[in-house]
Amino acid sequence: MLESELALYAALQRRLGEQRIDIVVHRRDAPLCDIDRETCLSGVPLRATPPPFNTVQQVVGKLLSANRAIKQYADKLLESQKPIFMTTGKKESRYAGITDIAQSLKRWRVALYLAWSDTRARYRRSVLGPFWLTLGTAIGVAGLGWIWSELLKIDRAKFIPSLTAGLIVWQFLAGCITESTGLFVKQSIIIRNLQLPYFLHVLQLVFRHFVNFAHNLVVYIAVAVILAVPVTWDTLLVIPGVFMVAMNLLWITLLFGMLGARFRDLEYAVAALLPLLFFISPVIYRPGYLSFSARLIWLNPLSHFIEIIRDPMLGFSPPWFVYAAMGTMLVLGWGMTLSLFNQRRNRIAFWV
Amino acid sequence: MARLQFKKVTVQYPIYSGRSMSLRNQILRLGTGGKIEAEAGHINLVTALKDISIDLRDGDTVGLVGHNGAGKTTLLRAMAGIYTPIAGEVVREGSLATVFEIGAGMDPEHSGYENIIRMGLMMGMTAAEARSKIADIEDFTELGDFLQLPVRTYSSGMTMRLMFAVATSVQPEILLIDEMFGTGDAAFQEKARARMKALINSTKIFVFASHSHELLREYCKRIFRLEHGALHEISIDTLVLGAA
Repeated sequence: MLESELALYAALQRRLGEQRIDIVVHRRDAPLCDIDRETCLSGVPLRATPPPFNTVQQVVGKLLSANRAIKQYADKLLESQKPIFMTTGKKESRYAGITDIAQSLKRWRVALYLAWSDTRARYRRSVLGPFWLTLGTAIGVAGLGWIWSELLKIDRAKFIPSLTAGLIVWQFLAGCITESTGLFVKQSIIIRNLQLPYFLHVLQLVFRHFVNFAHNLVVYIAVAVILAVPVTWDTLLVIPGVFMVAMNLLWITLLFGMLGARFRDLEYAVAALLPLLFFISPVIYRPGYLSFSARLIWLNPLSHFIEIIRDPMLGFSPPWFVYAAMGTMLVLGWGMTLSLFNQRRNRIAFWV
Repeated sequence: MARLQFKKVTVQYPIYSGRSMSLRNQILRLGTGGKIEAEAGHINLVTALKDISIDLRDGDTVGLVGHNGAGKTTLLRAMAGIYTPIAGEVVREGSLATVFEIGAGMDPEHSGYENIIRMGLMMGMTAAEARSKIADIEDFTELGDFLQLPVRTYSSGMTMRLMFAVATSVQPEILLIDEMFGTGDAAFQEKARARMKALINSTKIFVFASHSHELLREYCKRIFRLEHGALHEISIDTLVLGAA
């Protein structure tokens, strides 16, 4: 009995949001809430005295069961197909962004499915399917590796693995960044007609490029095997590296998606600048190859994105400042994006 | 119990001109101020809904009438939580489904089956739920083996059947429909109507925007007229059969 009452209490608190509700208890054996559900739901604030407890044990017991009940009820609310929904003018929209992200994360599987299904659709009717990506990268690596190693006068066995790693990481970055600016605009039909959290589109995009990245990784593994790239314990650092990059790409995609929906120039600006960035980022070469600008290159944030994955792929750990830079970008980037998303999330539907 | 309540809701729409959408003009505006500002920062604000209050509960079937641009679609979108009001409060309780521009999320490169799952997921179903709708959709659309082919190969009528079947395969407590009848051949239209009727009967709150007085009389008990962003309830008897 008590559990269900606490559940009702939790539901009321959720329902009424910021309004304080207290529960009236007249008798010890009386139900915790003696007002009918209707009155409660209509938002009448109630006055209250806490239920009397006799012993510490009882208090602890009740707190525990209350906690359990609230958790269960919250789960049930989130899980059930009956969302209780409330929106107000300005007050609520402060948390609009965070709510959106929470809803999206709960349904990350949907994003993954859609990303995978997009990839399949793109290569439908082709024999190799998504492995065209792999083949394209392989051809690119062979051609570029041959010529650039001669141009840069570097041993092929050293140059080709580094080039391959650089190229596939770059494709991951460039893919997400290029598509991010048009993301919400392209999904405008969905945004204007269905209630899908917006961050789900961001997840879907990053997942899709991650799938591509995974396909390209095959080329690197082949290259690494053929050219005997050392595998050490440091190789395992690829995993946190990819994770850091993906987390950073999520905020970049969300931020650019929002800005791109509001300012349509951004899409073209980014498309125009990315090829340039390709050459000033250490994709083909490595920061160490530069005699004078080795320090300067680290001012380009994309250098860190590339090196945090490439160094472990080549078998050694990246310099410490790469992690520091990526961590800083992660915190600052997410902070900035979240505050903007919180403020402007509810306007996106009008922009697209 | 389902409920849909609007308390003095105002929805305002920014209409961005090409200029205000441009980053260049926003930056110029920072630099120059004054003259260009007037032009570059020109955003038209349209108040699509003004101080709308409505309280719908179980059993309410509502028809929305109004001229083109009166705000019917905006009101439906605000009800769905797609548009957020700038003032006022929307309280909604109960699961919701919308039938607006249907077919959102459909990808012509995918097969009919794949699209059923995709659209279902986007409408908020789980993968298992979406899969469980397949038999019903196969049955209703009568597309047979075509469902295995990419939607790109379908005729527009067939695509419409599929989109309609998926959009109406839900069992929500609150159903919002924007005018969308009049597709497919006569036999299909009859079937679509029957399916619509069944769906409406299974929901607790139903809101329908339409120009067809005949349909409104058939499905709705209460009629509201939207005029210049304001909502008034009118008697259903003022709707004349046969008028548009």
